[in-house]
Amino acid sequence: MTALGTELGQGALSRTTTATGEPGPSARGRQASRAWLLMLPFLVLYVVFIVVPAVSIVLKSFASQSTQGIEILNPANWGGIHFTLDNYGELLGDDYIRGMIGNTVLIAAIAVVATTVVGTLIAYELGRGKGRFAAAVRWIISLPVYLPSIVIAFSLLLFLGPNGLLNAAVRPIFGTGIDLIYSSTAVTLGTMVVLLPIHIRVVAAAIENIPANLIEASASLGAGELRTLVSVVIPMARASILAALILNFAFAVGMVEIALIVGGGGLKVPYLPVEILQRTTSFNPDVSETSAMSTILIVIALLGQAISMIIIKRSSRGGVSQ
Amino acid sequence: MAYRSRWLKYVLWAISILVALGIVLPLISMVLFSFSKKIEAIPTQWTTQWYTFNSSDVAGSVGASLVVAVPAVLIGLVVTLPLSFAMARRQFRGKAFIDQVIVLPMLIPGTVLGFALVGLYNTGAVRDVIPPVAFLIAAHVVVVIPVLARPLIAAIQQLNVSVEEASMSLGAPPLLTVIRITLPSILPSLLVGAIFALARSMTDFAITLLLVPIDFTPMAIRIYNSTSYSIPQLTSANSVILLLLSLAIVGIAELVSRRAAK
Repeated sequence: MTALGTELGQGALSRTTTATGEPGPSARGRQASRAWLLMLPFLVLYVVFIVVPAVSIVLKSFASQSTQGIEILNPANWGGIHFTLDNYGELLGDDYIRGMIGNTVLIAAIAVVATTVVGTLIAYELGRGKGRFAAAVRWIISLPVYLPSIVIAFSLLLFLGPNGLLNAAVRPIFGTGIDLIYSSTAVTLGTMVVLLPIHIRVVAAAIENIPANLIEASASLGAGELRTLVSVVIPMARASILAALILNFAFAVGMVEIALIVGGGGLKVPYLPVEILQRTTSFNPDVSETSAMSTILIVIALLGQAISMIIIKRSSRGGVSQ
Repeated sequence: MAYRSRWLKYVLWAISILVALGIVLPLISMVLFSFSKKIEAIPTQWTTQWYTFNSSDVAGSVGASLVVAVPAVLIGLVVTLPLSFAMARRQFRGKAFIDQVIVLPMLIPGTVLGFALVGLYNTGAVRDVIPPVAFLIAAHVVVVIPVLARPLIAAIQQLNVSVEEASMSLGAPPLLTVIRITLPSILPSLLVGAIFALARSMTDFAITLLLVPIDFTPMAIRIYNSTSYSIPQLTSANSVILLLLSLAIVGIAELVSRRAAK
């Protein structure tokens, strides 16, 4: 596939700044002001369509229930808002919602850990695989990045369902079918399918950057391939593996399509983004609670980005290959 | 390499093939379902009725997807081009921060951003002034910007500045230099970015679902709505159409970038 990926994670992992000489102080000031001018349309768009709506959600999550209908973006209303932690208290006091948050975090965590193990091994082998067959396998595994998640989710539902291909193959052999759909296992597997290509792309690039002579040195000292993989390749790519893991976790916790379709619309497998989606589309949405749930996901996403950035920065400062 | 272990290779290949099968078998199974008269994994009675059943509605939905995606990508390009020049060429304080800000639409979950945008749309006069489809397009502009920005910034960084300097030293004004010299050289990256952005917009689910008006059904939303009819073959047929569309889009991007590499 092309190196021009569209997926999450690469922004934090690969970006270099070019130094075009060292301009003098006044030239630098002029450069800076022109840069901000060039970025103006972008900044306006992001402030209006991301920053303002996101901040207003965070504010609403701390506003008392009685003021939930208030237009928080209108400064005239700011005096009347009573700030409180009640919405969060209510979320955590509700058994169903507490269980749902736990379930979401658990499914995402298992999917991400499994993705990290499987994905790192695949990245190691497929990254240097040559020939048509390797290219075909690589292409298939990269597909979920480009295909609509809703289609991936629905195809998994069909495949795992009672009338699906998997059961058509399993039933004659074992006598009974396996009932996987609408289960946490199915949602975990589906989440892995979407996460794997992202992880593989990032880690394959990191493994490619490891100097070949290090691996040769390990081999010439008598280490077998498994030993070299475990004690040279994986430690050298550690920063990228960790950063991809954290970003993938934040991504998994916010992913709605798989849990919505494969998890049976939130009834069988409660999942936080599905709950937010359904509350938003319902006729009488509880804005305060939904805002609190959304705020939790925003915090996880921003924390994930920040932590993975710090990991990458540390590793490049320490002189270790990314 | 002599140190390569044969059994390790077999194990790793087995894992890779298993994962590939886990991705491709469901898709194949979906294609089979879409041609099956009854609900069965391997069709015994074949039909194309699920494709002809509501073909005019489906065509309308493909149109609706494009009505959102095409303007979103074009406006996105107008916004992203100057942004990419600033990021690739200029030194300023806060650049590393802006670099992180660009990916925000990928980072914030679609349901959360969708919920937040519903809140914005219901605020004050916004609802009275802006038609819902225009607001949806604006949301998609934001969503495609990170997809556009990445290849563009990289392409501008790799560009040889000396050609532009030569152009300007021969008396060409900066804007003319950008149009005649810079843009043609970054065109392949721009096209590839635009094609991927088109795919990103057409396949978006959560934000679109929360912002679409009732009488406007892009393809991804039609697929989701059809799951409530309990006719998996119909949903499969609709899904196959979106699947083929996005595969075609990615294929075109492949061709463009391979041409450019030659």
